[in-house]
Amino acid sequence: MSLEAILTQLLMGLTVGVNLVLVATGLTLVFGMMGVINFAHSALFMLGAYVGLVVTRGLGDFWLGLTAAPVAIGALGAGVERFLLRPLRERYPESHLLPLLLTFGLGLFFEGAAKMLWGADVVSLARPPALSGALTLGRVTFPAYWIFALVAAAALAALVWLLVERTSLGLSIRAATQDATMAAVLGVNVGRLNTIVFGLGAGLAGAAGVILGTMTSLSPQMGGGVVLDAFIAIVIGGLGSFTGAIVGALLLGQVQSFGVALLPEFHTPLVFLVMAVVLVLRPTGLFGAGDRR
Amino acid sequence: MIRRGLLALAALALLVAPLGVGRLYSAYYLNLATWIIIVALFAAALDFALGYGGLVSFGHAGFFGLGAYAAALTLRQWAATLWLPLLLGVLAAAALAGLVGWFAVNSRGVYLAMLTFAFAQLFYEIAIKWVAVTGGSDGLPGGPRPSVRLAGLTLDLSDRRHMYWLALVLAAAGFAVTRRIVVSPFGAALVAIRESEERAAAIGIDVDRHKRLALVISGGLSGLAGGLFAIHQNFVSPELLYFALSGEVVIIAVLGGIGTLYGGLVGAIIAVGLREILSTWTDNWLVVLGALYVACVMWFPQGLVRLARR
Repeated sequence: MSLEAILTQLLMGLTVGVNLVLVATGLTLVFGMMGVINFAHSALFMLGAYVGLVVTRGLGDFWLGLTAAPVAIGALGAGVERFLLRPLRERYPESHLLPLLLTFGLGLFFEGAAKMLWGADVVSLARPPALSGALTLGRVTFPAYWIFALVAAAALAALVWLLVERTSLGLSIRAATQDATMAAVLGVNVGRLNTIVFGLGAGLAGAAGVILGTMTSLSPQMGGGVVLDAFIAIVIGGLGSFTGAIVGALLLGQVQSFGVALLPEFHTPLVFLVMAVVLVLRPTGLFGAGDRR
Repeated sequence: MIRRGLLALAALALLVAPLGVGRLYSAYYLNLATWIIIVALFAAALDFALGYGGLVSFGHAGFFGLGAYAAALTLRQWAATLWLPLLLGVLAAAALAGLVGWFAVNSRGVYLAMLTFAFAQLFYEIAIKWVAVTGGSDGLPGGPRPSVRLAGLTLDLSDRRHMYWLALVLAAAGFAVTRRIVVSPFGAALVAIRESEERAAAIGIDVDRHKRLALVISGGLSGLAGGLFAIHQNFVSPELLYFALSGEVVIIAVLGGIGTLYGGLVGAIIAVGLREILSTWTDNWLVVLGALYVACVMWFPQGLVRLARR
């Protein structure tokens, strides 16, 4: 590989990785707080992209679409937690299986709904005119939209990091992740916090849906691959760990970017193998807590 | 006594059902029935691991799909045999289950679900990427369907009725064997492990060995269902390994009732039947199916079998 090619892959991997951080954050926070793997996450990502598409086409402004998607999907996610997941978990607090199945069914439902509303075909979301050009850095040329996708996602991820690590809300989230019962005893409204975290994660997935959807294309199944990557990233990083999600997602972005370039046939099995090995050597992932549920 | 009589009557009705093809209904319905029987076997296999062993698997499509691919590849190689593809399907799936069990046996709950999921997804990726062997995402058409002589009778699987009988008999055998295992001391030990691993270990049960063996049995039976499917459809594709199928078989088992084995049959009839009805009636069947799954989890997660018994 030439230096230019390496730089291109590096930037591509970073762009994908930062967006994976957005997707992975919701997955890992929800798992950390509620012990639930959200199989509807890919559908939320996909719905975000379509909300972006509808608003962009309806109002003729990409930026409105990019803003509307996280708000709408965040509200949807909060609703799912409040009116479906919470009652289910209150009724069957011991079950790991039922919440997982609930989100699985919801994922199918959302995918079906998207097919019904917008058709099964692949569509594309036009890049805003201001970002349709190319940027030249030294001897390497990138589409300007890549740089935007990188910066926007990084800014959002940084905001979330500040929220989790530097605010009192974030302190509550981290406390509830460690021990929800103890946090509740100390006066944290864990029920409301769950709703907020689920909504936040969904909103971030929705934003990533617009950003990545514009970079590639939209279809009702578009979320599968991305969320699978995010899922592997948080397993490698340690389920429930926010830091682990960031490290894992950035790592996976690079693995995917260089893997596609160097080992187009076998990079995906390789990723799974890495994940299986990590799980065997360190069942809780690189940054996971000792608790194995 | 009445229950016995009803069961015998139902078994008889199932056995003679193919005779009505062409007179009472078309071959389409017989194919559908074969498909339901195969799914019921698959769901029972999952239920054995989930309902009795408490092993939350979200990767059973891996066993089903591997069994299907192994059977299809064997059929393409040696077309004349029937038992070899099925046997190799079972063995391949059981071997994978052994491998997964070796990796995963001391992870619990959600972690086990993820490991099984990861393994199944790994095989899905291999099926898509290793085009030379698996045909990639286009899938793999089978060879000519086998025809074997059995106790003086000819079993010709290109005849849909013969296929139905084969699936029925093998699924019934699978059910009977699983039923037998469930009521054996091994089954009792599994239930003890499901209820509390610590207590089971304290009374001297080798927890890891039991869980591993349960997963191997469950995987092997799933492989049998997969092998039957490959012969039935004469076609395999990566979708058979995809996590959507893993999720669906769990939902089907839950829909019928976990820890009952025959709940899988009830779930299979409803899920497969509903999908067929919905897909002829509307293109948007996925929405209805998804909503139904959500409703099922929310309002009767103990399953229809227990709901009816109440």
